[in-house]
Amino acid sequence: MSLHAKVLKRLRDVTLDVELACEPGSTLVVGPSGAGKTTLLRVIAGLEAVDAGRVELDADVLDDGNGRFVPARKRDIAFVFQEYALFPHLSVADNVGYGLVARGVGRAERQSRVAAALGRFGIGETAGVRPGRLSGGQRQRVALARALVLEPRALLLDEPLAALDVRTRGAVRDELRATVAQLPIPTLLVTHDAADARAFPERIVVLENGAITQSGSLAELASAPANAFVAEFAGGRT
Amino acid sequence: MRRRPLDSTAPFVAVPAALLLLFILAPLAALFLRSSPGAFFGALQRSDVLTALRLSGETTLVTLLCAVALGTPTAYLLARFNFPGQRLVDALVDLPIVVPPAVAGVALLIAFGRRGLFAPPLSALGIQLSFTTAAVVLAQLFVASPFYVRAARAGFSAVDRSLEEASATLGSSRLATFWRVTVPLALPSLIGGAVLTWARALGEFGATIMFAGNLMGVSQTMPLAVYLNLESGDLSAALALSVILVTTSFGVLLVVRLAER
Repeated sequence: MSLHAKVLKRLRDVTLDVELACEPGSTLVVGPSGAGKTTLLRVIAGLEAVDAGRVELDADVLDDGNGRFVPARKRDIAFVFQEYALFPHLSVADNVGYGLVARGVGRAERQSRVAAALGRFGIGETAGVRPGRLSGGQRQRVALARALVLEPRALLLDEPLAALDVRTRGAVRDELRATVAQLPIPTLLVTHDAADARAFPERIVVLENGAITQSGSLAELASAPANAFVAEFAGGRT
Repeated sequence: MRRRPLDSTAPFVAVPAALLLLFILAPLAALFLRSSPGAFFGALQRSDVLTALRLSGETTLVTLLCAVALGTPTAYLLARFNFPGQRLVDALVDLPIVVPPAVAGVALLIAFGRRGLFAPPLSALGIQLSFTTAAVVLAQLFVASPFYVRAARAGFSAVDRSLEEASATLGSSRLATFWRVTVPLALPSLIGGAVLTWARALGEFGATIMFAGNLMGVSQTMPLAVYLNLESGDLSAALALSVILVTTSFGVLLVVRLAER
């Protein structure tokens, strides 16, 4: 499974112009606010189209900037939103089963897959609870369960720890790292938090003003930072 | 914002509030005090009163269905899309709220009446609207539908876009997302708007009498029957119908307020 995105997209304050190829495993996209990180994820997910460029997942062309555009619902790419975007009117089980209903999965199989997903993330006891009554960490687990129960071809996470308070962030980060490590699909995580780089140090892409200024492992970035932002980020200061 | 308990500054706001409340309550209380139970139930057995009740029930129900069917897409359009002339459309949708109902009735008559602007195509189709029950529905719809559109638009606008986007990434079509996410989350606003629209339609008078007339069994709804009975000196029937209208309206408002909590 491989993901390739060559994206040119004009935003309000910046033009996003990047080319990115991801193999299975984690890729951390870091950069200051307004660099275009979230837009990059949204383009890959199919929530926005490129002005020019190409988004491919394996041999499938998802967006060629010239008329071919596969909408988000047909891409098989899971997206975990910054605030998790759990449906507040549905129970945890119904949130996790939402995509299975959309795919026409029968009731019995749906219940079994939802139960398995809830069990995998240790949130089985919350099945009947509405998301508003969950802790931040539990919400993230529900969001991950909802995304991964569909067995997606790629996983995108937009600032997955930003909605958590500082006290729980560390533990949830460890959980997230363990989950992502087991996934056989390309996983893109967007963050502006330097602490996340230490949890996902294998491959880091630095995005500034819409362009990739450096990429490599955390050690490579730390040993030869391209600029002051990278030096500060890779140095681990938060 | 959190509310605070009454304190020493309370009289400065409580006294004007009490005056306003009394001003609203006094005429309504008078209605109830002047209408004895005997006269009330007696009026309820009269055929003209029952006919007005039935006509009001039927026309307001059709009006409500039309308002929901046409108003829901309109509200979604205004809440979710950018298009040229959006502000103009926004203002036009609200216009009937500020136009005097009598003017609305004249406008409907000039547009859809026997000698109206659209009379030739309507006549060709064998349709005559003015002074019919259909005219009652059109008058109610013109005056009352903005209440539904306003509430529905606010409800749709308040639904977090990321929830709809999450639904899309999970494989749902736009239509499925609308029914499974947008409508359930906007439902309190939709219900509130529908109830207010129905209540406004129930009380509609000016546009109805101009465009539909005051014909028993055809266009004489409850407010028109109140007017006719008062004019003809039958105060007990006018009071009975008024009590029903006030009670229904207050009940509806109470239900809306409780549903909002």
